[in-house]
Amino acid sequence: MAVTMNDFNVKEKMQWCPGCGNFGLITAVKGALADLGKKNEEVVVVSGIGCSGKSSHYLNTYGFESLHGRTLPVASAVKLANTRLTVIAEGGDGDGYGIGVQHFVHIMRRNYDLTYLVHNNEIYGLTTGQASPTSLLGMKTKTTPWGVIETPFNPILYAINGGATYVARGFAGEPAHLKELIKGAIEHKGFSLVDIFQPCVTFNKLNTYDWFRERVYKLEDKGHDPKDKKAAVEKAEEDMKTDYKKVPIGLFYKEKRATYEEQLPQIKDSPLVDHEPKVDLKKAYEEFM
Amino acid sequence: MKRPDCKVDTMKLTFRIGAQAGAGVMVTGRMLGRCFTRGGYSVLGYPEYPSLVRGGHNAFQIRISDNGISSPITKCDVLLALNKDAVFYHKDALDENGVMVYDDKIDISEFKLKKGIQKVALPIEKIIKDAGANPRMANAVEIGAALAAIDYPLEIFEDVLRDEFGRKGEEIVKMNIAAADAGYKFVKSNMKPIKSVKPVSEKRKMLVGGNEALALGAVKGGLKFYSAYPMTPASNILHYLFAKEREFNIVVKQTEDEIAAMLYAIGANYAGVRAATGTSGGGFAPMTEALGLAGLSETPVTVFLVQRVGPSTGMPTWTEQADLTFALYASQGDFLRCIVAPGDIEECFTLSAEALNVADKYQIPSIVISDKFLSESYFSTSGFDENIKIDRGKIARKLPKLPPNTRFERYKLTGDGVSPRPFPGTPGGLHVSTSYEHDETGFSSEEFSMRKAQVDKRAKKESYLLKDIPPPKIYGDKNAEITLVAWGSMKLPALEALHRFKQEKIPVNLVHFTYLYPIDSKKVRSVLDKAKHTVMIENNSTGQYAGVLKQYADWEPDFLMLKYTGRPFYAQEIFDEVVKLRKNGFKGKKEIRILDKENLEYYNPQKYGL
Repeated sequence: MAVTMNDFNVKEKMQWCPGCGNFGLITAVKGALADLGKKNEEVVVVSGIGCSGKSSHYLNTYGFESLHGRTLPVASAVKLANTRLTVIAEGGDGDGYGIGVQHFVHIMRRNYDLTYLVHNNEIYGLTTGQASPTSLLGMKTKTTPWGVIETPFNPILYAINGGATYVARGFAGEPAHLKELIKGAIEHKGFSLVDIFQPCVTFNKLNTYDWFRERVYKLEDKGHDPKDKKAAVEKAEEDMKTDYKKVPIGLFYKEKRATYEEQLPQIKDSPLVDHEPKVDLKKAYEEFM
Repeated sequence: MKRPDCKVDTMKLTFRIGAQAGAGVMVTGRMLGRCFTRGGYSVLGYPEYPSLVRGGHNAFQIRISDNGISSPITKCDVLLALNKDAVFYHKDALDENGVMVYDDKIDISEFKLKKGIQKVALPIEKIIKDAGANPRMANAVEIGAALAAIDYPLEIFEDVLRDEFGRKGEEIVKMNIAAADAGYKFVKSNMKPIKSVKPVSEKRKMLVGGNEALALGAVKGGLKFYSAYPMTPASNILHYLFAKEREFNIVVKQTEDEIAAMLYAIGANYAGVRAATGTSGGGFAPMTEALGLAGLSETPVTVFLVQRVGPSTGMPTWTEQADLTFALYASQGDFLRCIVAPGDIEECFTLSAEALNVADKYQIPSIVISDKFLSESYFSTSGFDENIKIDRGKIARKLPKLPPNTRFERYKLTGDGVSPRPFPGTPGGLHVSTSYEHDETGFSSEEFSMRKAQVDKRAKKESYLLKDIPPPKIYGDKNAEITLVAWGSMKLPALEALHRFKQEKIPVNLVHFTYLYPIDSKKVRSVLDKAKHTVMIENNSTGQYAGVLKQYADWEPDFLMLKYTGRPFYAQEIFDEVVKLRKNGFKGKKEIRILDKENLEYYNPQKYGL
């Protein structure tokens, strides 16, 4: 029987604010998993804390809800432990680009074969509306009553320069397009980032659905070549450089590079979880004699 | 006269090697130690060094005996002084019948040595040149010289060199042997050996570092994944496992920080691979939030916590037992953890494996506490307990099909509090493991009755775990007049002190704890209540475990002997204080604070004009 989106539903109600970008986002994830014919038990979703943290509860896969900012280390280890699994980490902009940014920096160097979906709403939602690392300059929030004065974190630019091998940006208001980006990310062999504009209808009054719809355009419509790193960097900076008149979405950059796990002979051919433990230490003891 | 019933050692000998940091004292010391484990001797190798890569002073003590040894001492018989600092630091420790072999470049005219000490100026550079060896082979000359001083057969060292450098080619081996032989001959012709030491047995022992034993025990216990961030004195667990990664067919990961190290270990355990992490106190601090994640999500995880002097950066390369209460109370909220502390090299191996079993069986964090003294010292052993069974606990491997869109009851409320755990990939086992309070399927829930039920379920494990935990062990005469109480590595100086007490016919025994927490007060009291006069020995300034025993077993020692200078207790210190207490009819201040007799530091030799 073919896998359908509904196979990834859970019985519980998804408790996000009505209109939350997460609805479009999770629909895209389910669609991608169904299109790729993934079995529920083959997939592990690791989430952090924040509104995005519910992802591991609302997808009927194996899930792990970690700590705030700590999706990537758990997801990395799950992949190293069992290379057969499809591993998806989901966190927010505060989670992944704020408190957990060190893991983001290093996972790109390692190029594990896993997918990182960032629910980027440019605000802290669950904690009721503080500035996030991606909040735009001048934006007024509870913690920036006079407007943001810190340059926003540019995850796409960081990822391209930091060694990510699949760098994309989607918009929750375009779930069909987003689904394709996520499919590409899951299929990509290596670390893939999909940064997803996901409007927070309750706390972000600036970056609304309408705000995005007026500004986003698809890179593929403009003939962008994702193998061209220089062009990718230019596109990554386009939103800021045009004062957010033009906000590109789509696949910015893609390259082929050996994954971390395929460079480990121990797990190249069989997942670590299947290995019988080494219990005969005779040879090891000899070195101490 | 009645012969004492204790077996008194017939041969005990102590070497000290001193040199500038970076000169390779540790390598030299370890190779020298191997010469004796190959001759059937018991060996202890104890390094002392400041947190400097160059400059400062490094010292390595090698104690050998033919009847078991436990702990470093303040005296030595053979001093290998490789720079001037070494003469300064160690001359007073040298026995009057001992020998100082020193690099002939050192001007020793300003130092006054005890009468009777033989002095041999070893022309290391010249010997190397004449032997056609290279300057990196100075340690072969030195070891050869040290062995000559006690008339020990050089052939054993030649074998060590063959094994050590064989893979680098016959030429390197030959040069090393020539260097060793020249050093040996030089000393032989320039002094009278202080003793004639010969191998006592054909049967070789192993010389293993504490951290290596922890690593070996873990692998024996089924460890397949280890993640860590480097931190002294835990780093060589990481180094050893990396070196053996492919042979052991395991995965070792150096992470970006300790937060990640802990989460990698948790993630691997969640995915079904037995995993651990290791660090010292400063690295355990960033791990604490995730310790609670393991607690709430009921994901097994094991942490090796190798203590050093704190708080904060403290004295990074010195020893202390002051992170126990930190480990006991680390992370917010109530959750069960198990804390074990090996007291010797064999216990490092066994408890490491047992801690992994405890974590899996009860789906809780387990913490193995060691310290710089135990972890970075080298000990001889005839072998480890190979009778270790891997117990993964309740793993759900084959499960019936789930109805669509439902989850497996990963957190089912069971009689013993432990619920079957399916690994990701298992059909029928879908669930979410979570940091959030949850219902039986792992779905977030804040319902009061479920919250209470889940807390009670997790807490229930304690009573079952306690059944697995042995009582503290008694060493020596059960009815002794005085009982020493110790945990972890303080077993070593305490046992060494017991030897002395026996020789002096003072009836003293030792109660030693390896399973520190949780505590079965009845089991603990049944042992401790038999003691007459109790003296608790802790390598910290507040008596942390005494406090824990007071809290959980309502027991207090009569006397609390504390040392927190950065060094472990010396057996002599324990002996002297206990003799004093006995003489005074066990009256006096409850707290006894020990200060090393020799006051020095290796960090700033320049302050001594060196």
